[in-house]
Amino acid sequence: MRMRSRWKTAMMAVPAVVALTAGWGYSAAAADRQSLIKEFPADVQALLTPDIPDAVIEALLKVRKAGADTFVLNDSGGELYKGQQTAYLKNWEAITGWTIKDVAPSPDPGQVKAQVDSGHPQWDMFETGSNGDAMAEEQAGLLAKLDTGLLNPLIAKFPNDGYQHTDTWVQYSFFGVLLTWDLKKWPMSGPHPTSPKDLFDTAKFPGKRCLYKYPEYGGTLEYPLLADGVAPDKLYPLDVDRAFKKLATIKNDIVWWSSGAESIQHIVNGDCAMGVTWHGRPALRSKDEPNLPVGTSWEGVMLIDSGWAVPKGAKHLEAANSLLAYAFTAQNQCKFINTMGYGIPIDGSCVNDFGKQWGVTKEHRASTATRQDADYYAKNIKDLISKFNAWITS
Amino acid sequence: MTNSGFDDAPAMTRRPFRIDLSSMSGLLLLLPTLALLFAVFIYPLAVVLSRSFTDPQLGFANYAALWRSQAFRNILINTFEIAAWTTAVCLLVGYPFSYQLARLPKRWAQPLLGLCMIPFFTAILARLYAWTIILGDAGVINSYLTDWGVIQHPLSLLFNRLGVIIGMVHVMLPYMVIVLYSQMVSIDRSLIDAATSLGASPFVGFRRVFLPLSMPGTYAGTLLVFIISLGFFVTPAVLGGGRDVTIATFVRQEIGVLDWGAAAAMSMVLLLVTVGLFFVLDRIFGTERILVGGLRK
Repeated sequence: MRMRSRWKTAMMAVPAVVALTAGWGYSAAAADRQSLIKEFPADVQALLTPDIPDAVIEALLKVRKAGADTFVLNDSGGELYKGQQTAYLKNWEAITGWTIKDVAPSPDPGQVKAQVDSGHPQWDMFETGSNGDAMAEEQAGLLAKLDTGLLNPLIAKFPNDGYQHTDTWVQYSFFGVLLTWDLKKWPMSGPHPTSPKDLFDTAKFPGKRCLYKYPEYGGTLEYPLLADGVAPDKLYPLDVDRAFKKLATIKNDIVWWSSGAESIQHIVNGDCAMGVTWHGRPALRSKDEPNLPVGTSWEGVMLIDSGWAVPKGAKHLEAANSLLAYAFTAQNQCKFINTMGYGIPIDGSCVNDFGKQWGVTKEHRASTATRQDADYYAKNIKDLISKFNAWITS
Repeated sequence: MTNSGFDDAPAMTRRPFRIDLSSMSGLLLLLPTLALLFAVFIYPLAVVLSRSFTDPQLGFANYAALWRSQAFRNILINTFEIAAWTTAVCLLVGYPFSYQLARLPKRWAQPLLGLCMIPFFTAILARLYAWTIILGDAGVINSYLTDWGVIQHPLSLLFNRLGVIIGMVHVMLPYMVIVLYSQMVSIDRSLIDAATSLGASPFVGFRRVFLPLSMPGTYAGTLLVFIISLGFFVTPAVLGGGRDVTIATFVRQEIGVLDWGAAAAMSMVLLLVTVGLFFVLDRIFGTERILVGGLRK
């Protein structure tokens, strides 16, 4: 926040400086930019579009001049990686001459610790499981300090919606823990579930419930509390016993899933009548299968989050900074949202219809009942795992 | 995940090996194995052991916490239950199959054994998702049975203990069959013919001649399947219900949230209980005698 206000002051000073130095100052900057761009090979110059700030172009050039190498990126892989390739990874490879190697799935704090403790982390950058994970990793001293001078001006342009970041990690998206249901059972034309509260109404909507078999990321503890009447702003710290009590009312109807693919497939197969899923899953599947029989609702959704970080001791910190900076430009974030509904709508004007439906945009956030409390999970996850396992196995 | 330990199987039926100290070549031959064992087994195990007493601080705190943990007690019991069921079903299915296989001429036995190995060539997740399609409420089995009017409501075959056992038997059966078959082919069938010619019924011949001779393989297969089954992780998660959480999952979760001391202590308890069980079985069944004696014709 401190960085943000400082940047705002700087931004306000820019028109004044431009006005004072009149024509020559501006054209000198433009000339600098042109000469920077000319140092790139002719075929990639077109990729350096006007929306990319000078400082980012400078950073990209530095990485290019350092000589091509392999950049190891650890993320969720699969569709997420493909979406990022389309959005910015391929262009970053072309601009810098580097090659990105994808490693999946994204690590939990334990795997990051194993990498950092080894002294030679194999990843140059990785996707954090959640902001809570990122906080735990930062606290354990596992993360490298990012180039805040380069990144913070870009982060300052994020919409003012609670995107989090520190000196060592940057949130790159919100994810909705959406309510899903079987459209063959409850079509949109008739009465159908509308919010996660309906998960607990087995009288009105009988059938199996698909929930995530872990206390974090899936609303497993939050949704029962909200359904039990806890006010969204009073959710944390979680009343775990009350959550289990509410969950117990549907215990025999719960089918537990452990991976995102299962969460949707169970609904499609008819193994569950209702459930929850991360919004990217139905978003991508609806692209290939427009008639996917899975209803989704953003009403009363809980938002979770994920970010980017660099493990301490990673070999290519400068390249990571340039990649982050390049990815966090408005146009590239738009491409990301338009591809798979993930990303930050920095500039709403370039978001297409798919992005509007599936991206976590203002409309979706307005309906948001709650947001997963990263700080709470960073502090309590060990205890929650024990309590959850004791409950689920009893 | 499931490939570990497979190579141990023949070793279990081997005679005890005496090191002849006068011959240095014996030691030299052992050296690569010892070095490998030390690097990838003994040293990491020592690290895990020490971590269980030192992370986050010196003492028995991690073990004390496990002793009090309801979750750990439940999960430990679940893990052994699942492994025991899997082993029992594998033995029940694998023994008659191997028995028949060992009787067939090689040109028939080999392709059949090959068929049995097919699961090894399929990715574990593909196998598991295939099972969810077959066993689900609206899956292949239930929809046929409902269509034929055999049942009114779908049978619960999935997302419970039964689903886990089906999935795990699918994975573990080849191990059991390989061990059983490789030992059963070495049994001299003319001994049973001899028993029959002396007046024993085929069943008595089997029970008094073949069965005792097949005990080394049976014991090795059972032990192998049981121990590998204790480490299962993905199968219970995908095919199981809420109760089907295994130690491997719990350890993985604790590692994930940086509670490495607790994870190390859990691993040590699992190891200790397993080794303890091995010794108890050894006392009861005299495994040493079976393992060694069975091969001495």
